[in-house]
Amino acid sequence: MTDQLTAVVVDDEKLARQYMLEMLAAFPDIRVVAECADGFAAVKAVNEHRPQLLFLDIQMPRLDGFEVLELVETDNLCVVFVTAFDQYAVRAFDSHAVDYLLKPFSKERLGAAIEKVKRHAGSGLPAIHELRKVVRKDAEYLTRVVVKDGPTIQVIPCADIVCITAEDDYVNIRSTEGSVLKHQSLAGLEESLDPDKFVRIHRCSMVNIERLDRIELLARDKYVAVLQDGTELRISRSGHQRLKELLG
Amino acid sequence: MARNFHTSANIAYYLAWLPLTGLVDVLLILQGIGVVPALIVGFSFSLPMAVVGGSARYMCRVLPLRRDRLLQVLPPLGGVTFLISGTWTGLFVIISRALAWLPPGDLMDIAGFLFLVSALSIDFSLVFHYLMIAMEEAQEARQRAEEAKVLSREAELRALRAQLNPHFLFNSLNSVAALTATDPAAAREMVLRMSSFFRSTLAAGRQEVFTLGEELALLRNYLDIEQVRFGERLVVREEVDASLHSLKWPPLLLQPLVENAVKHGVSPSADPVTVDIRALRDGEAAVIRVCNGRDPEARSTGGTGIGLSSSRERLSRFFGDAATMTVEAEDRMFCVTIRIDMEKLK
Repeated sequence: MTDQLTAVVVDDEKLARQYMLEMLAAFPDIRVVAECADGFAAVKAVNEHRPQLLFLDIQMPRLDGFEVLELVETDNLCVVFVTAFDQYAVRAFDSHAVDYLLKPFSKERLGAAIEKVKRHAGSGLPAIHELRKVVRKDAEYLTRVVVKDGPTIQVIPCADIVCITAEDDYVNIRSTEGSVLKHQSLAGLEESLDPDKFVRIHRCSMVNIERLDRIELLARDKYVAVLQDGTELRISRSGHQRLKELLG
Repeated sequence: MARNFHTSANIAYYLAWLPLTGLVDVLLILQGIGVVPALIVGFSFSLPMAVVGGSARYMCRVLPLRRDRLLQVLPPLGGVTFLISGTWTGLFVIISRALAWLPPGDLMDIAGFLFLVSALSIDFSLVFHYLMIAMEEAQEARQRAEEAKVLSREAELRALRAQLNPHFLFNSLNSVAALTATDPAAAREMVLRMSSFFRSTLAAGRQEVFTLGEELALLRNYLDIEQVRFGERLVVREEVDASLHSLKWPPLLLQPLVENAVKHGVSPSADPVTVDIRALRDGEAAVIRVCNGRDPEARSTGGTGIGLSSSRERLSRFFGDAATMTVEAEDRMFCVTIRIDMEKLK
């Protein structure tokens, strides 16, 4: 069959995967190429099999569903979230080009999701951090940042981050463990970090306030931030204003 | 209700003045004036005193009687008594002389008595009002205690309703949906466990007396359900001293702790994690402990601070200072320990 869609099923609960597979058996145009029990396995499977369709649980060990999406090539990927979250939290999904299934779901509902996916196939994903904000009301800001560094996936707790600088299309995240590049804009990352901890000190850099050692005056109105690991970063005028506000 | 109380207190106050008026009348009759004039004169002496005494209420409010402040309160009270009695007796003598109610000689004879009677009656008013205020305060305190009780009960019920975590419910239902095709007997078992869990959770809020044994049974039920969801990723260990089963217990105090153990211990970890529940005796203390392993890689899954502080509050409301709760958070282990001094409970 030419119009068969390949799919990957991701859920940490075995019974939930089993249920999904059983339901999908009724749809011959869906071919499941892999099932995964955690976020790492999901990233690996998606990058390896390049499926067109991903059934993704949100709460999972190691990496959650959103983090998985940050780490995989999403250009030709359609994502259907499968969650037990209540309707209010998930309503905002409606406005985006993905679908969601509430556990437990019926075969008809799954069919509708597949139809929707087929119509939207190839139209890309909405901003992941927008979705995250809707679902994760209790944890508005990231507590960790995930980065794919070649074949390995790094999980960096936000508290360990020293500073973040923009480098072309990437951000350079410097943590206590070293530096790593992530394909993201500084502004995008800034939005999902706690503004009480991370402050944008310049157009192309932000620092973890906990890791700031001192602020030095170079010349009139020219300041430099010295971090605990010795790094020196220029502070812009508006950056200095923000720092002053945050430090009180 | 407070208004009624004041009205009846006022009636009582003026009724209590009748015998005092009678005393003045008797005094006057003994002085040799006729009964009718004595009654009229006695009444016109007492009524203004009663009205003035009635306003003593405000004075009592301003100068509350407290043992540690008697020295500050008593002198002004004495002064006021002296002043009012003296002034009124003097005035009364002048008025009655001007109106020629009594012969001047007799008047001077009874002035001392009148002064004494009026001083006594002022003091009577003061004592009366102090008593009334004390009664009012006692009543208010009772009312406040009632309200506090109702409030805490409502808080309890709210907490209990929150136990019915939708995430838990829907994930469990999903497991049931999965099992119906592959293992109908297990699906039925799961439905029965869920019914039993929800039923006992709902009943726990209504029960007059709840015991640790019942709480532990409820937890076992809960963990059985989670076991179906998580399979071998959840390992349950339980060690309980059977003599603690009858310990009176605040309903569902441990349940959120165990739920947290699953949520923050088992759920974010891909490897098997142990949830360890212990209720043991340590000398005269009961030590109840809920521990879970943690995947150090999976740290920072969000705070549990609010849940823990409400457990702590409920614990101290129930056991007073007989109970303590300690939290140990380590890289690979999270433990909440509740220690109850059984001696203090007696």
